[in-house]
Amino acid sequence: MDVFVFYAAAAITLLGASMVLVLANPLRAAMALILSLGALSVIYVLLHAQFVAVMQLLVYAGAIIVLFVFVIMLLNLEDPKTRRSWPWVAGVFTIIGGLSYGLARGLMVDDNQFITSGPPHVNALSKDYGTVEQVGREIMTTFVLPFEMLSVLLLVAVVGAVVISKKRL
Amino acid sequence: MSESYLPIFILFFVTLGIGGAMLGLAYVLGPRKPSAIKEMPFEFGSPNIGTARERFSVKYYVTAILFLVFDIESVFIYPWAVLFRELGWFGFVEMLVFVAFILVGLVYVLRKGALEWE
Repeated sequence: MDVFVFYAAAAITLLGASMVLVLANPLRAAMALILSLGALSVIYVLLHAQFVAVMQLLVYAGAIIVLFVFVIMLLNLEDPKTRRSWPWVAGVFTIIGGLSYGLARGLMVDDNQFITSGPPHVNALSKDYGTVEQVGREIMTTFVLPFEMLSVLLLVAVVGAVVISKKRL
Repeated sequence: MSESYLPIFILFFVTLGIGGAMLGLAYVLGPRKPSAIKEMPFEFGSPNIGTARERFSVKYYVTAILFLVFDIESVFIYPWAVLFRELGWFGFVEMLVFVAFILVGLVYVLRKGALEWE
């Protein structure tokens, strides 16, 4: 069951990603990216990373895509029908993707086990490994300093966004 | 593992089905008598001025970036809220420091008037 879900989600992820490359209309490409990111969150669930899966949907498929759409609106794009299309771009990225897949497969230790029962080390983890409780406990104990540093980073992001965008401070 | 997510899958497909049925049935059953005026994008009834592909103001973008920052803040508040009782005062103070830093950012944004629609 898990293996079937994994292959379905992986296929949808790749389908969405290749649609981003091929579609001429940038807004449609952004919508295809949502499809890809959504299917990716299913893979996160299969990897026992439930918290990451939820955040993938909330932050990436939600907020970051909104940002992408705003960039597309800012750029004042002409009608895609009048634009020159570059089919070779998709070809180049297909070759790069294929090579990285081959590399990953070459590095994979136990190939056959992966195909029949999913990633081996993931099955060894306990069921509640990536739950909100577990992740929160790690953040608040082991990684409490990076967590506090992150607030400074976010502060820098706020100030930077205001400084860059405001014409007159 | 994935069996416990079955309700989400069912919800997903029901949503997909309802959305698809609304569009599909309207397409199949609805009568269509297209004319040049009907095919035009609707712009409050008057003839169209220019295209829809206009440059939008950067103000939207700034608001979106600021939203993203506070969105990420909420990402960290969520697991903290789940563990609130377990963490006790230590967690409370840690989160207070975290929120205080971002609050400085919010005060900066408000003082600079970055959220004002000028």
